[in-house]
Amino acid sequence: MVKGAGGTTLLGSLAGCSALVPSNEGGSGGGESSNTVSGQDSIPSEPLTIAMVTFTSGAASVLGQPAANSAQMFADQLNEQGGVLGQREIEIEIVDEAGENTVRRFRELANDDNIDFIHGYISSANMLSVAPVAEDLNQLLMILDAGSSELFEEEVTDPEWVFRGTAHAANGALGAAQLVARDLPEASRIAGINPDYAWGRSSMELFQSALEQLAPDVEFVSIEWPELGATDYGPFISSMINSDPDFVYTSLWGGDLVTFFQQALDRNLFDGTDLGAVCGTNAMTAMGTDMPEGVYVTGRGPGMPGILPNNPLHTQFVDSYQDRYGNPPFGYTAFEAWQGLKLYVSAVERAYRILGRYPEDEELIPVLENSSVDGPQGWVALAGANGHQAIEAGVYAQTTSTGGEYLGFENQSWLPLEQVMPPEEITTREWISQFNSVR
Amino acid sequence: MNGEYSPSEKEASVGDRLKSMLNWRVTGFTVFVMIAASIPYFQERFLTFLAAEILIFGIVALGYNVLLGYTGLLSFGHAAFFGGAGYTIGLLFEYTEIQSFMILIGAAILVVVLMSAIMGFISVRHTGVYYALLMLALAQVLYLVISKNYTLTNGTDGLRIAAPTIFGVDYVEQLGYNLYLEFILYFIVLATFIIVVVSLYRFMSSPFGLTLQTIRENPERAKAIGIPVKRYRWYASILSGVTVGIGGVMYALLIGRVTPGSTLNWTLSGEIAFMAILGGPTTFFGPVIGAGIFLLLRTYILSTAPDAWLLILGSSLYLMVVFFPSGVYGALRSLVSNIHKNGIKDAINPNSKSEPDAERANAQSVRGGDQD
Amino acid sequence: MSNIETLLIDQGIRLLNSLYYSSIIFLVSVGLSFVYGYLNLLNLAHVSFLGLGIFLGAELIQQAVQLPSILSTVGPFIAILIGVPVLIVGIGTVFEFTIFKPLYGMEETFQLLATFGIVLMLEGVMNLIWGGELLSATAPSNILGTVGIGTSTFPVYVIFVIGVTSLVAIGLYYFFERTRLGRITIAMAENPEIVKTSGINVRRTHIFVLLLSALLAGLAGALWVPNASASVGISLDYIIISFAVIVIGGLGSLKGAIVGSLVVGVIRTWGLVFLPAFSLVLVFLLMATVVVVKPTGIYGGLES
Repeated sequence: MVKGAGGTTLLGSLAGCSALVPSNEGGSGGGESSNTVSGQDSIPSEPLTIAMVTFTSGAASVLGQPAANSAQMFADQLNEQGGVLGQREIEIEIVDEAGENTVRRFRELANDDNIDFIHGYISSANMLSVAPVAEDLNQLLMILDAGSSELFEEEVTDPEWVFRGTAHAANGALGAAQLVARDLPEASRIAGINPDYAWGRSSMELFQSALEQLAPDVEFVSIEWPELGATDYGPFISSMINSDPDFVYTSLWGGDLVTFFQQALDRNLFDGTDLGAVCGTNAMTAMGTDMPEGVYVTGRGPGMPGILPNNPLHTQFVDSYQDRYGNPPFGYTAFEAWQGLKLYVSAVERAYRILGRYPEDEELIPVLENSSVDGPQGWVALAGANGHQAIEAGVYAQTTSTGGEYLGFENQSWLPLEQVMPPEEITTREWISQFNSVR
Repeated sequence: MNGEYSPSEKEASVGDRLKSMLNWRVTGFTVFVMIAASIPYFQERFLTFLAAEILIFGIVALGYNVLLGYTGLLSFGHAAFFGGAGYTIGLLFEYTEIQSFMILIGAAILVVVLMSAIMGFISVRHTGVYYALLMLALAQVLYLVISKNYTLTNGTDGLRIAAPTIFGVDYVEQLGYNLYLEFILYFIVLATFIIVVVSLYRFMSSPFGLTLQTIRENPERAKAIGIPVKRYRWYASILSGVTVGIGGVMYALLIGRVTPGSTLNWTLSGEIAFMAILGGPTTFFGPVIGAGIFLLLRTYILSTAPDAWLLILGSSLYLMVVFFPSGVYGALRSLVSNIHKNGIKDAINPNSKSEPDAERANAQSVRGGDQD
Repeated sequence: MSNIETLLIDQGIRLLNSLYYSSIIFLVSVGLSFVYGYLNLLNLAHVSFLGLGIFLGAELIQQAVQLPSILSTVGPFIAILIGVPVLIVGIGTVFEFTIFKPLYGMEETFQLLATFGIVLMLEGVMNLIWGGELLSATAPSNILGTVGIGTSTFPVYVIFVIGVTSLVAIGLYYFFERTRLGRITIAMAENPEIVKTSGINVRRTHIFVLLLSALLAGLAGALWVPNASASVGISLDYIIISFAVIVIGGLGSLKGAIVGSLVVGVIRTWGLVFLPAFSLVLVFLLMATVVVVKPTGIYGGLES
């Protein structure tokens, strides 16, 4: 009954669990009788249901739909081989992240015994709301994409049930800071336009503090905070143009980014100004050849189609996605969905081999911690936050015309792990304060 | 019964009917409370959570109806009280070391009293549309102040609400979070619900409540007989605001997080109005029924056909307002008393205003009718 | 370039931004104002016409760009200025005879609630039809291109919108002040009995006002979409802003709607520069003040 002691429900301990079948009961973990069943018999016959919480409606669906697509593709490919452990099929249940009732919805999913695993959340605000609830309710949760570094540094500092299968804001923000400090030595007037909520604030703060350390000569001339979902960036763009920046940093994403790019092109923001868009690839599908060229973009690590041409997992993934959905997986959530699911499935399979039977949720935790997978995005390891946070190298590239329907990438600039992800035991902010100037 | 009646006969029949109605009410409510109290023992976490929400929004809808059903004022700004109370607690958690439940709820009530006194004072000079718009504008000011000041209030991300200590005891430490939620917090919510229902009922059955209804039905006449109309409306605003605020406190504690979008949004005021209408604004307990139906419906639809929710919500509200303004509970009640009355229908002069009969009043004017 | 020139250009661009915003909210609010002032219906669902204008506009523009040769350049503009208004008038007629009909003559507060139900309903329908996508219809903006102002450029399309709206405002003014039908409409609101006895078809005038209002809101949506992207939920934001405009300007007054939208546009645009956290707060404080001090608004004379 005490938090963390395996999450057995009262019902489980009071009623005597001989009647309970060892199927996965969300986070409640009852079913002691599963100890008596082992081997192949312990693998449940009903499908493994994974709830994928992502934006499937509204402007954010630009980033959310690729996740849903990729998850479905992953499930189909795995099921062709029989499913988990070659025997148990998986089912993806897509849940729309949009709306104001995130926490309530999460509770419903967590309390739903049919759902074995929750993978999701793009909005950092939502992530920060549900992560503590996941810990409280003993619900295994893999964060899909939401990037605010506060997750494990402030909100859930000693995680048990919550994992994040993708690098956090530091990857993009610090990557951009390194990029400007080293590769763009002439840039001294810096502007920023970011959505006014956890993600935007986190991203801009990291970028600004890092750049001020790495290149103390820079001056931040214009910092704009449009609200999330704003539709008119005109006034903000005008303000930035007036301040004559050399480089603009933005963590705008999804449909907002598309609108921003359109309006920025109209007002000629890009003339004489470089732009670094942490979520820049979000706009590439929607905008096609209208996408501005020369923008520095990243995929939260190497989650950009074509960035790893010599990695067969990468090229296979990109090609299958393109065949199936008609466009390359520019939305990096496609890569992240794959990664998170693969981490989970691998953990289940490894736990099975260790235990000799199908694992309970709490038994997956030690197996998931510090695990790693090789995937379309290269090697991803859960090496941060005591084994709960993925770490990835950073890469920036510039958008360029390819002569096709969509733009491509050139001028790749790789940033090793050590430059973009903080080491264990130190928060990103503290780490940044120790940076030395590189100019 | 041939159309004549003597006063004593009439009084006896009214008195008897009142007495039986009162008993019926008390038993009904007791049954309701007993069912509510048994919910946690089913060990369905999800059910307990939903039941708690129903109790909370029951409180909120009751409070809202003090203004809508009893005083005749439609407010699109009550989210300010709901969220204002929640944010008071959130800000206290964020910036101070206060953890005691009693202090937190006390502070929230204080803030809401202040807010409703001020907002009420400004707005009760007007009625109808101007009142609704004024409350909307004032509530929107609060919404914007909270959502646009990220450094102070965490903007649209909202504030985390931890579990308070109840009389010094940290139940989460003792029992674990789940048991705290399902038993301790749930019963606190239930206790609050009972206190609110009983107190409000006494308030609204007292001369105060009857005065409000008089004001609603005919403000000119009320003024003519010496009732300070604006002052009573102001009192009603405060009572209404505080009740809604109490609901807001419970909600914040239950969900664990307050955001502008979920607690201060003006559309929330509309949803609360819907709950009151759905249940029956002409009755006392109707809004609680309305809250229950609303939440059950929403839970069901969001898990089966979530894309249809807005459409269903909107059309239900429209249909209720146009065709069933006395609400579900109100309609049921008139049906029941219709059956009761059929035998003695001839005995009652339908034009007499001294009969406190909600059903008959409903027949006259869709929104009129005495509360009980 | 001298400092004065830079300053003028900066403020000039800000002014254009402000007028653009004012144009959109004017087109939305003026109809709301008319419907309340002349038809006695405070219609929260009025913004649904804005939403429909946005989505229908996006769809029509996307179709129009695929037309051959010169039609693909002119087509999108026809779609905005003619196509969408025609569709909206049709939809408005359907709504008038179905969902709006029971509301006339109802008590005010219940009208408000019922129209709140309608706006949610229509949001729901739009969500079901267009919810899962991001509709982009930037062709008209691309076609008109940009114009150089100082060292930066400015989209011509924004100026186009301001121009169209100004023409509409002038047209409305002329209509209500100079034409017979216009003056009748005003008279109808002030004194329905006299109008009835003089044999003028009140019912027809009533429908005319409603459709005109819907058309303007739909036009606002169609004009808006090339500059941004269409997604669900935008109309709800415009409800309260348009209320602020008509309360400030005066319910039922054309001049009020013009002045109200200009005032709100200015406060918002310059507010964003100087007090970004409070720009909209000022608008609603002003709205509240107007209700308290002079509820009929700056130009309102019509007390319902």
